[in-house]
Amino acid sequence: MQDHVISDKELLSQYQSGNEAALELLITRHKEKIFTSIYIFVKDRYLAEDIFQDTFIKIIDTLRRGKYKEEGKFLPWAMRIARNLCIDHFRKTKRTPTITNGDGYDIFDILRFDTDNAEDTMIRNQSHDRVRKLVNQLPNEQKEVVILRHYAQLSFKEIAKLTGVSINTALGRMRYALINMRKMIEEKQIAL
Amino acid sequence: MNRDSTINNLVRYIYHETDMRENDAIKRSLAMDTELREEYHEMRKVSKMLDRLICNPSPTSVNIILNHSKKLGRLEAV
Repeated sequence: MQDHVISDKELLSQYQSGNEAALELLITRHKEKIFTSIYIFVKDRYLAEDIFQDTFIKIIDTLRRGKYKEEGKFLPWAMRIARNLCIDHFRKTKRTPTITNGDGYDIFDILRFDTDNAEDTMIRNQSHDRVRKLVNQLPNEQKEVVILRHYAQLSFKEIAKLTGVSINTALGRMRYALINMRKMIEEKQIAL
Repeated sequence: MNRDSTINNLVRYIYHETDMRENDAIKRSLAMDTELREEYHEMRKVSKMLDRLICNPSPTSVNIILNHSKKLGRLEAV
């Protein structure tokens, strides 16, 4: 099956008709963005793996039951499920996303930059720790907008709706996230 | 248009959420306003950097999901 030819909507339809390969293609197409979002949010590799699995199991169950009503994009729907599962986890454990569990793993330990030559790889390796510090220093509400816009690919309108704020607030948070990261780069004279 | 509104539109422009009419207005503002242009370039740089951050789930997680689906398919076929 050729990727980038068949739309998500068509893949969902094929899967609901019994084509298991369509599901595999959907996962392949979206796994990096969904997993990265979860991982940045929960900051725990093992927990992120669990929530990633639960997200797709919920997606599968919804599709199998014929309950999928979304006319829009697949990824925002999947990301809403993932985000709700992250929030459920923090509610159950009475933790907040600001608390790390100290398991020794960090998202940026396995983070890779989407580049493909040796020079880029070297720069990537030098930058990991610096970028980690930048993102982790953002206030939670700014970090959330970054995740939802960059990795979940939600529009600012969708982010506003999902997080219960006005679109101007969502835009303002993104602006300050970008400015804050830039300021940190300048203040610490970080080369990225 | 006030400054906040212009900057909010600038953020939408960076993320390709503006229409052609808004694009023209933003391009005019950027051509006239050095400070705004500087902020645009700075925000765009960080945005591009964030876009390149990617991580992958383990193959085990993907297999668990695919096996769950196959198992359900077999149950439904019975």
